[in-house]
Amino acid sequence: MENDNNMNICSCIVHARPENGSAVEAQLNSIPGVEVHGGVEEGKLIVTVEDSENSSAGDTMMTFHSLAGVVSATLIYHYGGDDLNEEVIREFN
Amino acid sequence: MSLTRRDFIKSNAIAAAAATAGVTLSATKTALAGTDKDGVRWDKAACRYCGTGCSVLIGTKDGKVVASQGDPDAPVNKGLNCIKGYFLPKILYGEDRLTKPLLRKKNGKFDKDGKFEEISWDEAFKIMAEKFVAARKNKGPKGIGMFGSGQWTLWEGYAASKLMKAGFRTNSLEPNARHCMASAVGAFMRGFGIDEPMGCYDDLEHADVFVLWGANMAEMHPILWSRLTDTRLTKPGCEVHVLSTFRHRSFELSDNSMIFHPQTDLAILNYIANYIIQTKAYNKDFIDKHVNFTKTPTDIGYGLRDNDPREKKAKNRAKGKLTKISFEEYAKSVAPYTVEHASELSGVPKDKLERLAKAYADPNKKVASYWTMGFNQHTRGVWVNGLCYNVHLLMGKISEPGNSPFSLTGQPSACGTAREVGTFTHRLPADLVVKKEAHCQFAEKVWQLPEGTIPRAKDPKLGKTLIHAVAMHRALKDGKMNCFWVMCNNNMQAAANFNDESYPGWRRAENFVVVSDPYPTVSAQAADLILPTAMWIEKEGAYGNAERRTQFWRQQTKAPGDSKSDVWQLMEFAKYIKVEDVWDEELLAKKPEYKGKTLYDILYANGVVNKFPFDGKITDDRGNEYDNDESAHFGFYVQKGLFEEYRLFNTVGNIPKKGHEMAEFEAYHKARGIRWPVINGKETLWRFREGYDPHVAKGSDVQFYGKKDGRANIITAPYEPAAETPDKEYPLWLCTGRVLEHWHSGSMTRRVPELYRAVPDAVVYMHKKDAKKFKLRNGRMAKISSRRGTITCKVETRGRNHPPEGLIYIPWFDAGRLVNKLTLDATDPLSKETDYKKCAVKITKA
Repeated sequence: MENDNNMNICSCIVHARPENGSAVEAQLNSIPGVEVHGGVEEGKLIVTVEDSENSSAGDTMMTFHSLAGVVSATLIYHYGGDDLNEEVIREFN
Repeated sequence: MSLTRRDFIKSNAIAAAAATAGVTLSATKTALAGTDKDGVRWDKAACRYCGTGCSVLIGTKDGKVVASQGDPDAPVNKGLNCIKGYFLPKILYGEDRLTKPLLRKKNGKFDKDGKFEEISWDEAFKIMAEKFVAARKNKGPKGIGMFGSGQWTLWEGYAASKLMKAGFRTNSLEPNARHCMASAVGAFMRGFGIDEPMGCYDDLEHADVFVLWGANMAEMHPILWSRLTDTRLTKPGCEVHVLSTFRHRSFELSDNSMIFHPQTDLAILNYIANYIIQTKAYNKDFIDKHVNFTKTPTDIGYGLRDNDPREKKAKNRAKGKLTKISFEEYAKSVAPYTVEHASELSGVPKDKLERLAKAYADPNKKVASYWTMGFNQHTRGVWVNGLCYNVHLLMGKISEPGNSPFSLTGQPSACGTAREVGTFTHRLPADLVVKKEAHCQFAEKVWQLPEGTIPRAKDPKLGKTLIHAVAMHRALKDGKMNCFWVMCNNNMQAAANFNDESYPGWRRAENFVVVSDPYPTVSAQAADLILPTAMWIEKEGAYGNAERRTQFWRQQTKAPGDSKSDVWQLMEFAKYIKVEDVWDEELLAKKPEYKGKTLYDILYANGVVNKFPFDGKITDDRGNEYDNDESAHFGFYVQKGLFEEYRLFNTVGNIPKKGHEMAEFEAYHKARGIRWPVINGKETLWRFREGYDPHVAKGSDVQFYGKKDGRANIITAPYEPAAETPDKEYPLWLCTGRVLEHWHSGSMTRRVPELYRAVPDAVVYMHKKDAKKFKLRNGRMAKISSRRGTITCKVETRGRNHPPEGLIYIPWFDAGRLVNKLTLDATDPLSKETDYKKCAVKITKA
């Protein structure tokens, strides 16, 4: 599952005490391939992780537990298969 | 602007996470979710790792797993998945998967000192049959043994139990759960007369107070931990108490953190009981109606070999018979455990102990207690499990939402397979035991066997037939057991005292050791014959988790090469054994129609197991189709037949023991698991309490029906020291355990590149003052020695675990650093479970 034509997309929920939400968000957003989509105020951050140049999505996720303020990180969804960036499924004008 | 499939998948991923967390996002983030058909077949499966029993959705395309998702419909994990879950599909695709049977050979023949060569299954089973039959004939029932697993599927454990107990007529069958759950089982049987927790995971939302006794749920049970975290962060007044012998990740959420000296959990629990009595907080009505007070013999030794001085000194070696006492006598027995005494023994400050005791004693607070290996892998494991029940029983805080003493499990089917099916030496299916004549006779009837087939515990002809896991390794070393089949576990790495007992036993010249595994583990490499095994979703399976939930999955993919599932191996091997080779004439004369048959004919082609036809494929409700390689091979629906025969132990007339009722086979393929007892198609969440458990008689409120009088036992037991404590020569405690990234011995997780890179090697966690004292530096290598062996590890003084001075912690997943070269094979004399948490070591610069 590690060949070059593969890509990985994951989503996670990262738990933090609500008062630490934005600090954790900032740390997460600074990691290549990581994006926070919401849930910061609730302390349940909705995060996607994709492969970056230097780190696979899996390697990146392994670092979440060691970030300051993170109480737990749980995976929700994982796609690991052919790189689908080229495949256009809809055109918008 | 164009939209790629990648955008679509990402949108799906975000939508799934937001729905699970209950977080609302702007519609643009999730607009695409669910709008595209992508040719991926989705189906549920229970996770392969720990005892939590999460359900994952597996997406398969062209015979390969391409996607996975936490199952949003699963009550256990509600769409969540731990980090290890991300890599679940990858455990199937490790580079060194075994695909052919391998036998040690020299000059074309089996040779104990030969090199592994590929052979056929036929050749493998022929030499196995020859060796097993000879050992059974020459050495009796204890001449052969099988070591199975809490990772076996239900039917694998069931097929194994039949093969050994009914076929080979030996009780030399143990699961690796002996190393992990036996103490918990012992305490359930003594306290309640029936195995497994009364509560369930729903207590994670109902409790006001959580107490972790040694368990590091943040790393070992991450999904349950995230549910607990949610409750702690959202419920007003909720508090978390964490006790451990070292500081770990779960302390992040702790409101009352307690580091105690090893073994003093016994004293702390007795102090809490004493506090409850002294303050008259106990629930008098509950104990009057539902509890008996008893005491257990003390000074019982440490389960070591007979010639060990500690055994010679013990007054009541391995004794456990309970004696009834009065409430007053019980109160007197815990009276010495004042807060001062408990604090002095344990090293925990008095105010923290008092805060903990108050939480248990407060009638308005619902308390859930969680523990795993800290209590179980303990030379007083049965005692300490029991002491926790004592506290809950005194308060009546049991068997209702939120009030829950809960024994967590480490393996996905330690409960389902090891315990419920009964793959221990002393057990039979559905909580029945070999020691009871009526239970043996009942099993023989269900299995259509002549009376006396199953060897009795003290058999009139065969002698004493029970033998536990640790004793098996000793018997191999002593040459009393000559054949050993290890399935679905890595016992060479897992068992204590590698140097003195395990390894010499396996490599003894006349012994023949078979290991079935998907990977060349430490155990496989130490074996004589290796059988390549189909794993997890390469077969149809079923697991039973810690909350009595039974979960099924269908075969999703094909196993590589010639690898075959454990159930296939067990049943196919049975074809190579003629009944005359293992049953005596007198027994066979009672059932002459069995003459000339194989064990396969008698055990599996018996008209019950082979009752359900198989038409070449399995089809689900949605019309998706699946393979079932075992059923295709044997010509009937193997898994259904084995399960339905197993279910007879709960459903036929005159069952010796009620309370383990299961639903019909097909029901489990439709549900996200069902918690037993299942009565009239309905599961049971809290046992023993009226209104929740249909077995409880009307008007009785609470009934512990595992015991004849319906009362649970409070069992008093004192603090007694560990088997080996630090001294001048070996000044440190050694504790072993797991890490988040690796599961057990790492045979699966170490083959996932990301997990391996994240935590490649075991390190020794220690206090920086100890490091300085022993002239060590963070990041440098150190040599750790006990009276039994030496290993080398990198020193870690700043990592995620922070031991106090005087204790070091080393995880056991690392095959390159076998921590069990150091550990002592001291066991709980009652449960026979090894204490991996306490021995004495020294440490020097490498």
